[in-house]
Amino acid sequence: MIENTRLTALVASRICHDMVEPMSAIIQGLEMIKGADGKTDPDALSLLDHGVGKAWAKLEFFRFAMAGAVAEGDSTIDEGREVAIKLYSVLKAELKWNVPAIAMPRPAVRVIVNLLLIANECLPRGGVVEVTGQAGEIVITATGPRAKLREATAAALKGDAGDEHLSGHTIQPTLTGLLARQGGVELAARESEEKIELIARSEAFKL
Amino acid sequence: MKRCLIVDDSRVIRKVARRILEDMRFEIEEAADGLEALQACRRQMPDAILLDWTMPVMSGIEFLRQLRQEPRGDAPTVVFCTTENDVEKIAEAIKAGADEYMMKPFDSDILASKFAEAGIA
Repeated sequence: MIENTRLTALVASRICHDMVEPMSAIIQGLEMIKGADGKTDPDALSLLDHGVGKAWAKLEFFRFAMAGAVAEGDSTIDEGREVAIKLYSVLKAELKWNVPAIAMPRPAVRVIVNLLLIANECLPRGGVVEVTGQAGEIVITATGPRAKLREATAAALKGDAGDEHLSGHTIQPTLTGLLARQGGVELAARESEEKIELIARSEAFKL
Repeated sequence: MKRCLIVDDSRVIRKVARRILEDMRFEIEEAADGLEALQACRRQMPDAILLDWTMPVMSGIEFLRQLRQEPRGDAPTVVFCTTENDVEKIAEAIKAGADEYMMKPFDSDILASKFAEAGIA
């Protein structure tokens, strides 16, 4: 069982990791503007635009997927759609949302949104992430070159990662697995050539 | 002109680092992961490598361990970048052959001073 202080440190570590890229873009964009003698540099504006957009999308993702304030009650998968669309607008992979408005408890929506970030991380060279589903089952399919579900990620989702393998990188799938088990959502994964399927099943998923 | 290989899975971080290092008069090559970086080093060994830690396909530490086994692989000065101030990870990187480390995010002053400390600026 992971200690609370370690869990907190690893979650904070993950958030720091994900905020580094947008912060770097903002820092450099501002440096370029300061050094441009009042002239507008399109590259500086582009860096600022990217940095602010990505920071905003990640902030909304972390608030929805990990923060506690929106954790209870009934919802539909559509509540996660807006967060997912915003997140994928700044990620390498393309998101296809082909799932009806399936009703489910809000903690399950958080599981699905967390799985969407994991799906993107299965695609190191980009690709397509598609969400499909029906009553009882949601399938997230990641397709692209070198698609791979890391062993550590798969183990973390199952809750088998082992304390010594917990890191800033595996903490998000670890939390996803915890949320799923607490919410009665069964997780599974299928892997084939250049394709990963992450499957969430629950009797509480209703059309 | 000295050559620097920037290894990071983030296109934006590569772009930011490229801008700073070009201002420092480095010729730049980029790689998106450790495997691409290893291939780049086999084509032409750079003078310096700015290396990310966590990357898909091949991580920074795996790359570094393999690089130091390559012919002339001990030549490049390696500055690795991390988002964590985890002493064990920093020690692991230094043991694997890193010359200096730097926290992300960085600006031009931090990068220039780290390269100066590593003796490559």
